[in-house]
Amino acid sequence: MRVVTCKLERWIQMAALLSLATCCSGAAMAQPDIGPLEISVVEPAQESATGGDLNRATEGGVSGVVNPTEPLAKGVDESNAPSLFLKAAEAYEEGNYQSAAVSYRILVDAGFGTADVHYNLANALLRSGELGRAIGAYRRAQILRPRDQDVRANLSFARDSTKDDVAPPAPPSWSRTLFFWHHALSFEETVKLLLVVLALFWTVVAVLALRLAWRPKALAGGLLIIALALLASVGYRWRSPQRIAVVLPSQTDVFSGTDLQSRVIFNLHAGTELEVATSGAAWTQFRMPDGQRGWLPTEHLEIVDSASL
Amino acid sequence: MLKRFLVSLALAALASQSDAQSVQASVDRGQVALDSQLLLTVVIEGTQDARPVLPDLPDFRVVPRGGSSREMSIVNGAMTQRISYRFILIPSRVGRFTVGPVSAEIGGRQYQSEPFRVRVLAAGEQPADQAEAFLTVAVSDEQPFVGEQIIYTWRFYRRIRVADARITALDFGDLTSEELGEVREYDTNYQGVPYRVSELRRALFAQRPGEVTIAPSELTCEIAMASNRRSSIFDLGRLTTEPRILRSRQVKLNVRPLPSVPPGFSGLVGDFSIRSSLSKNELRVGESATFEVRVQGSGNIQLMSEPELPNLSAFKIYEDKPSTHINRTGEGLQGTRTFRKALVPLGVGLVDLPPINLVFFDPTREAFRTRSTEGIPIQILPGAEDEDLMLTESLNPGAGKVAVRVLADDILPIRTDLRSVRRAAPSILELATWTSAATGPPVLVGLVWLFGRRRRRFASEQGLRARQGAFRQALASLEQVTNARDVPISTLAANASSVLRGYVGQKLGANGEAMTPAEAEASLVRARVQPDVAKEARETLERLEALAFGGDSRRFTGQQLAQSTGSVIKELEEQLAAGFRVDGRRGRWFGGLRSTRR
Repeated sequence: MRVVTCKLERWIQMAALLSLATCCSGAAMAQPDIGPLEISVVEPAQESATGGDLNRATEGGVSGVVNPTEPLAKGVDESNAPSLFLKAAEAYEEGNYQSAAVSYRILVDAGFGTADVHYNLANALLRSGELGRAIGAYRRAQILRPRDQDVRANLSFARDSTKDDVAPPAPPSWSRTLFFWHHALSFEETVKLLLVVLALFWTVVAVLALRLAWRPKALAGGLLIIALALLASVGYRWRSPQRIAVVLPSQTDVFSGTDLQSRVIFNLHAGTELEVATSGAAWTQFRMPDGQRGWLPTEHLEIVDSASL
Repeated sequence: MLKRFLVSLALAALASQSDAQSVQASVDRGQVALDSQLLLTVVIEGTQDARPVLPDLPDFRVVPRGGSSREMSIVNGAMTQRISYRFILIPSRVGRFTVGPVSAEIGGRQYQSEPFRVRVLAAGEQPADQAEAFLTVAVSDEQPFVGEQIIYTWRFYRRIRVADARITALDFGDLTSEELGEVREYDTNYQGVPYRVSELRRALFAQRPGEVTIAPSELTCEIAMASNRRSSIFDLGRLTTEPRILRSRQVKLNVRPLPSVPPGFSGLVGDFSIRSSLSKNELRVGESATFEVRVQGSGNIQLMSEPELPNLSAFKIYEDKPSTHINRTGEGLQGTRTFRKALVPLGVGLVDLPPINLVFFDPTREAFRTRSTEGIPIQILPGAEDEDLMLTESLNPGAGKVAVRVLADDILPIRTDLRSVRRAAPSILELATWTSAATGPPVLVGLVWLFGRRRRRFASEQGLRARQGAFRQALASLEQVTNARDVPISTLAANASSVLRGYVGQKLGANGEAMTPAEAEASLVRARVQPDVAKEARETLERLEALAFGGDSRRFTGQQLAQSTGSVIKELEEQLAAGFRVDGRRGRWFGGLRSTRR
């Protein structure tokens, strides 16, 4: 009898626990937390930039989940890229910023992603209200041309529109001073300069090998030091490419783990730039300047990877 | 064990025989509002790899939702397998419609579902208890006048959690739209049901009379759903999201034209007031006063131009930039526009600034109205001194240098240089150029090194060849001395001496012709030739020189001279050939090993 009573008590406890759990679950579902909602408005496109195909692309809007420019990019080559570039500029001047953005994105997808095209794309996106994507495009333009004052000015302008007081990922000032060439030159510029310096170095070595009266040993040593510094810069970029994530939605929850059920630790807003720690297809972990880490769905971020440029 | 295996095999065989095949299509409800959507579920039983073929649904927009889901189960020995597809049907008009049949091919045979009917209600007619989220739109006036401000109110009602909401279409056609603040959030009751509302307002202005349609707006969002799958009894269920597309109704406006326009109409439609002021009512000739006209009100104030000013011929007028302040509240556009001028009187006396009229259309009264400022009297006194005014020089009266104030900030323009359009990746030509730049200099250095090495080797080899050919050449030359006829013996002696000197010179890498016999002996000794052989060479040279320069020539013949000289050369050749070797790298002579004379 006592055994039966114990079993009964255990079943009652379990039933109570189940009831409590079900109530909590039901309450959570019946009275969800209907908090304030950020709604982004995508204005319809006014006109087409380059014709029928681009019409469809423009109707989709650059802020949509599906970006239909990649199939269109297959038809763009050296023969029609300049006309598409001009039409994009024309659309921009007429105020059709979304059409212009689509055209510039097609150029980027077609392999014409120079610093100027990324810069123009960023301008068009910024005018379209796509703050996060615009900052991402400015960052790409800056990676390709670090000393461009226009890019710096417009990026600063775009950053003024962000809500979060989060400093963008940037190297420390001592690094910028000590390794000035690394931060002032793009990867392409560094490689080209390295080749030029190496060419000069070998030319000087050739002069030394000729055993002429003029023996520029100091010049050869100086060139070798410059070449080694540039080589170190190239190697560092090769091994540690810059990876930045820019928040896209006007507001998004930052999670403590890769699960929507994990704790929401804080909110971020469009345009905030973050340092990527790890990135996958679904989730991206980032670091804040104060060391705080968090997870965001990758689709909520624009990943700027210097290795892909 | 074997018994259990056989039973399982038998059950599987039995199960495979009881596989039913069918296509079923259903929707989540029988009626739906125009601003909502249906969920069409197609279940194909008896297979897991068939695809459904939907019927023509011209009255719906079909959006596939997610992929397919497959299931397989064995119940009482009967195995069933099925594949399910889900689609969102967004109605495009009100009415009763037939959906189906949905067909699919299973095992080479066509199967069809039963058709069914659905009813599409007008937007907003859906029972409130069914609507978890819906859109409403409203306009302040469906029969506005041209230029009248219409408040368009868009509301998103929801009683579920949603995320990533965005309005993908907000098209006002020919209407001019102005934003009226941010999205407003509040709670309200709609038909007795509590809802959370996001409200968006726009001010619209019609530009021409006639019927204008505001297209339905669409909102895409993610709706939180509770998953039915629970991994354990303590799992409270997971929240998943699914996309939802909501659509509002379309709005039709009947825009009325303005009545016959009176003269002086400002183009403003709404309710406006006007007032003017002057900074001083008494001033001297040459001084300036600021005349300000301020128009205030609600309506299409952004279109306001400067009111027509009366004749102010008694003043020199300097224009200032008008300032505009527009307040975008939810009630509409309200604002003030201020026009300023600097007035400099040209003569003395009492001058009246006449009233200024503002003619606008008041849509509430459906009539044109005129509002006027009051006249302003100004007393103009003579200047403090009788000075000769040079008004044309005073372009900015009473003003010194002022700090530049930034009125607005903007981004820098785009780039239009076509040189920007190039492949981001380097071309083959560029790669070839830079590869050449990278590899060329080291190759150049290698070539220079090879050239120097070859040059040095060539120089040493030339000497070697000369040394190797010296003996043969000497013997050939002596042969000429032997065979010479009718040649004076002094000449033959000179020739033999030259042959011997040449041989020594070539062998030692020196100019033999310039050597004295003593120098030749010393050089040969330095070259490790045994001293007696070197001495014999010296003596032979001395004898030959004596004969060449007038010695007793009757005692010798050419053959004898050649033999004695050849004998010495052979002796030297034996010692030099065996005792010397050439270090090719440095081109230096080293002593031989021979130490005894044969």
